[in-house]
Amino acid sequence: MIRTIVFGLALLPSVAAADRGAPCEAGSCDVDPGPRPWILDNECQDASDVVGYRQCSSFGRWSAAAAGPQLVFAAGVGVRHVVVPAVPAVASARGTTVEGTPVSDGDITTTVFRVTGVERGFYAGLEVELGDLTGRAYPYGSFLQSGAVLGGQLRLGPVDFGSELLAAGRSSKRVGRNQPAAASLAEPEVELRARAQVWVSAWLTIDGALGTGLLDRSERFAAVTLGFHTRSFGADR
Amino acid sequence: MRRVLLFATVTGCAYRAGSFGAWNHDFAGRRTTVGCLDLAIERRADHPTGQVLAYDFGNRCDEPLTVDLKTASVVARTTQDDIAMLPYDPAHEIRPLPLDGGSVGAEAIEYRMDRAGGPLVAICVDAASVLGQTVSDWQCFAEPSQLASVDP
Repeated sequence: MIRTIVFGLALLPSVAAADRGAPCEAGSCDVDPGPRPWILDNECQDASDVVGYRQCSSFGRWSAAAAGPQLVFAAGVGVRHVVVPAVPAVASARGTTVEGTPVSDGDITTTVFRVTGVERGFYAGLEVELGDLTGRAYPYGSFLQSGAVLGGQLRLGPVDFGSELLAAGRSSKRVGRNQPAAASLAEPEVELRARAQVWVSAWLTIDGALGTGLLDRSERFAAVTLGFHTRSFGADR
Repeated sequence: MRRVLLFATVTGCAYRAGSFGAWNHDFAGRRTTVGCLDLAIERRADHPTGQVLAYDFGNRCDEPLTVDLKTASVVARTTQDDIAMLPYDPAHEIRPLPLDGGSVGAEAIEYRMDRAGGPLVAICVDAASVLGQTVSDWQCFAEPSQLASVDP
């Protein structure tokens, strides 16, 4: 996960550069010769940095972050107590049959990715959760859940407390022992969660979440994620 | 700028109140604090067409604030009287903009006298007007990159 975050951060400059179009049309352009892999485009240099005399950058670039929305990109690890209904017997294309499997009831470790937008203490976004059912109720299997979150938060000192509702779709794919065919099951999930995030720097938070299923109260969820905020201190700290 | 943003992202560093410096440079010029804004103003070498003031600033608070360099009060003190100075802004770019908490910024602006006057003694800027505050904080500069003791 850490490698994923570092890789994503390394891509940010190139993504930003791609949005600017041709930055060196008016000023002089020098190719940066240094061994800095995160700088992927040329740099524009003006002879003067005085407003009205410079052409590479416009007034107020220092405010670019504040002009954008407050987005939070988060990734982390979750633990989910899943109760997945039994899979009915299905026939595969080869004519073999996957036997109905028992109810899965156990804790699995998942990887959680979220993107949320925050405005005036309320937020909404998308969440994807990937898990592995192997070694639990099924010999082999995978778990994928994706959905939308909607919540609100309140700041108390260095911590934001909040609650949110998740509405998601879930897909569980399982393969029985000595069975060549896979069985998939799709089902909805609605979850109520309590969240807390601690600001560890101007742009980073460590987030914790606890949730319980509303469709099946025996479902439980806990996660710890690292959140990167596009506005320092969430812009309204 | 992108390198600054990347470094700040990875290390999580933000502007520290009263430091008058970013991670890679110190603010140049006379330093003052107006509300949540740490501001350094430097008078640079004059242009043939006007005088140049450079602003380095950092938000010492966690909340965003609005930096308004468009309506900052700048006057030219001449041997005869005080004359308002207007920013040279051919593209009409200068406008009030938000600055996030813990963030820094910098701008350099050329000012031209609103009308002809006598020989220039100093140019003065009301630092408080950058934040739209009513209590004045005049900073005067008699010569480029030199501190002046005169008051408007």
